[in-house]
Amino acid sequence: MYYIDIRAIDRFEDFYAKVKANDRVKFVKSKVASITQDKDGNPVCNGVDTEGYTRYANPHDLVVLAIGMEPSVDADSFPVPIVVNREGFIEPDAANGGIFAAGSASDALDVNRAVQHATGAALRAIQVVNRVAGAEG
Amino acid sequence: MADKKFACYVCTGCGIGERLDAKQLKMIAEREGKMQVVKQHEMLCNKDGVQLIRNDIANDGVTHVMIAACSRRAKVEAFNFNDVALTRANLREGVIWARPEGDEHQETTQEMADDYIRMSAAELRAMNPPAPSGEQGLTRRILVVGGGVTGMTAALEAALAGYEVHIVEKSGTLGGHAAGLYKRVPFRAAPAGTGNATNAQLPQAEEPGVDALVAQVNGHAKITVHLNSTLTKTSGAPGRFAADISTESGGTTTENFGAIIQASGFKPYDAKQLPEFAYGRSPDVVTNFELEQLAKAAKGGPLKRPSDGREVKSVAFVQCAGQRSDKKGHLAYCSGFCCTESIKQAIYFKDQNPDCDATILFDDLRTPGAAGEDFYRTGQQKMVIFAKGKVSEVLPGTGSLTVKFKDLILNEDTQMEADLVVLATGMVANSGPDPYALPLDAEVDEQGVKQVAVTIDSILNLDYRQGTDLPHLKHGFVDSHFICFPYETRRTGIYAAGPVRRPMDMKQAMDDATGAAMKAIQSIENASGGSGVHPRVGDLSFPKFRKEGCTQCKRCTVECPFGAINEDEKRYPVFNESRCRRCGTCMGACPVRVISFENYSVETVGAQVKNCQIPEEFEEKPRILVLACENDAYPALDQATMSGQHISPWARVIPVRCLGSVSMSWVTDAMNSGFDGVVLMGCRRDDDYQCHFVRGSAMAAERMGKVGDTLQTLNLEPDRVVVHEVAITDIERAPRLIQDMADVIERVGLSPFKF
Repeated sequence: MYYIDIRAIDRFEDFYAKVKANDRVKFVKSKVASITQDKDGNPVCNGVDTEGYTRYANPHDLVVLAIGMEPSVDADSFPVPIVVNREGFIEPDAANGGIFAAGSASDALDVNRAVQHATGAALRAIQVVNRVAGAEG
Repeated sequence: MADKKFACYVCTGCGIGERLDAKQLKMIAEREGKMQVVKQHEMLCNKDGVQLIRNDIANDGVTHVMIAACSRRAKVEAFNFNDVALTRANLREGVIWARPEGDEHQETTQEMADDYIRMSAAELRAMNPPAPSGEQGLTRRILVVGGGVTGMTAALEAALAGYEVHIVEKSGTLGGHAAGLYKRVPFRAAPAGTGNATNAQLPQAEEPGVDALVAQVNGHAKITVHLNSTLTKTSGAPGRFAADISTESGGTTTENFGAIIQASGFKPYDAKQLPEFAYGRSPDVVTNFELEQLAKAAKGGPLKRPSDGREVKSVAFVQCAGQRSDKKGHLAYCSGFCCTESIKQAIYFKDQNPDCDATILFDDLRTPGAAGEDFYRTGQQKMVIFAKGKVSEVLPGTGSLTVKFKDLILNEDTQMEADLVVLATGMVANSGPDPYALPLDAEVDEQGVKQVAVTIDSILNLDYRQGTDLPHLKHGFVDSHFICFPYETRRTGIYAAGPVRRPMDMKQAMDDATGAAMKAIQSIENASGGSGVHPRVGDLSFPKFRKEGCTQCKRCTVECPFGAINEDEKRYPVFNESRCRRCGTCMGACPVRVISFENYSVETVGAQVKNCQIPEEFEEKPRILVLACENDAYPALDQATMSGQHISPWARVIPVRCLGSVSMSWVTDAMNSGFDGVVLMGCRRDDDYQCHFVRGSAMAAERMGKVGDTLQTLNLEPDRVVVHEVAITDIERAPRLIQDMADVIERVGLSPFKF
């Protein structure tokens, strides 16, 4: 696993510790610079292991790219103006009125954070409904 | 009780009509199943089909409904008939999708369907329509325990939704730890339009906002604050909790609540356990929490060293101090907030004096999300030094401190000098005593008397059979599964929010508080209608027991994963309906089988087992009973057949609420009536458990450990009964496990109990 920082944040540390204890999993602190093919067609990861600064060219059977997530909806395509950050995720903002982001529309979130966030978002929507219903009697 | 009227509706849609002989199914429902109304429809889930059933319920007095169509997991909205006893015979996922087409399979496929009709009819006859008990209270008020940022936010958010809230805070002020902050880490990433230039305008540390929050709370008409107060007794159940709120001066008032949010927060890790970092030996080694006090005291001026009041010219931050470590006294987990916290604090120094060296020594820098990564960039813009290094020791010296560390980039031991060292210490959950703490924790004194090593004050003082506080799951946190069900605890209607359930920063704690308020409201609304909460939302059934048969063995009160059952003076169980999650673990625990739900009991499943038709031995058609957890194993099987996999034609699958509800009698009944094998499928039960009821699967495994003896008395091979852990994602494995049992039967032969 080539990485810059292992972000097994808070309680995921247990999971990281478990995987790290497996001697068949190797962690290399490095951002892979390029992937080439060797003569047998295997993918080869090239880069510098920053721990000790050694250059490597490691052949693998399979390379998995851990790509990230970005908002699925382009901010410009919303039918109404909406406050987003520079990555395009929706910010909680009074200017958004009764529109609330839930889960990974609000940030790049894992499952536990998405569930956490979405539960709160549901309440925000209920608040609006209750307020409006109250006002209309 | 009103007259019962049983109805069976056979759907011929989705290919059921083409693959199965519907006429025969109807005949079986009528003759063997004793269904008084039997109807067929080409697409039962459409408006017309649903109306057909509704009409029969409304005009024809139908009280019990069998829908012989798709899986109980499909079309739940269409077939939502809350006023009758309802069962589903799974002909689509369970039969036609589970079996290959072709004449050679027709006989066994039809037999499968026939059996599911027989079984569902038998189940239905043993069921009663569930109805709320009438015990439910109607208090819609919410109690929030803890007046920190989490507690205040939860109170405000619930109040904004229209609910009345009381906050009980132990100290004399609101605000908690956040009140001690000089500034907070920014909540947002750079706004849209910010470029990627290295000198782009990036988010900066913000005012903590605690005073504003306190003012909002104090000014809100729906919020009542009890300062210097604790809970001296909490009893009842969701919808009807009664809490004794006692003040320091001794006065006690009793208030009623519908749900409780425990936002008791965290305690800073005790840095005295870090002598290697000279904490306590040098006043110039401080924790991240203490640095905020120094920053506050500096009032925007240069930060001073505690020892001699000199302006700090160089500061080192030791990340993960006493954290992410398996050393005794250290925290095994990462507290998650300290990386951005240290960046913020390093900027305190850089903003005052750009020439001050601020070095963050870290192993992994964890600043997740867009906002976290942007704030990391802010630190880089301010020329904070980020060095990948593992600190081994801090040595107090004259004038400055020496920080020894292993430079992980150069792979060498090295050191640096600093005027001040900040230890990025973590959060420890401020939870009450764990009701399930093993007595092993107790130390034995010289007289051989067990002494409890540490006494923690109770926070909730629950008047429950199973202890005063929320059970701990791991590392002192009181959640029941931090990924899948983040707010649930093992006490229904009491939701944990903020760092008491997992370490988190202020922004997340505020999101968390909002979510917990949502859960509290859900719990109140469900309790008021007598309905269950997660994961059986809407379920009106609840356990009852037959007092004459009860032997007061207390197994149900001890084994309930949610502490829902109390005991009366005579040690009979006292069920608290709205504390119950409807898992049936009590039912599985009861050795005399006196506990049951209206629509789920030893009889409803036992009847299905007994009404499956067992072919004569010469037919060479084995029968395998599969008891599958409805939360994971059953949907895994449904998904398997949806994706084109087949299930052994010998299998007869019965969903159970939880493996914890399984009565040993179902296994013995199956064996006695000629089943050749039994496969029990429950959830994972180890540290990475996936059981919706936390302990149900583990309890079942414990109980089924004794099944071997039963088989021995019947002179049967022990291989005929297996217990498997099946995850919802095991869609290839689940059907294979059933096939494995078919192979075992092939090997050991058919059961001799076929009459």
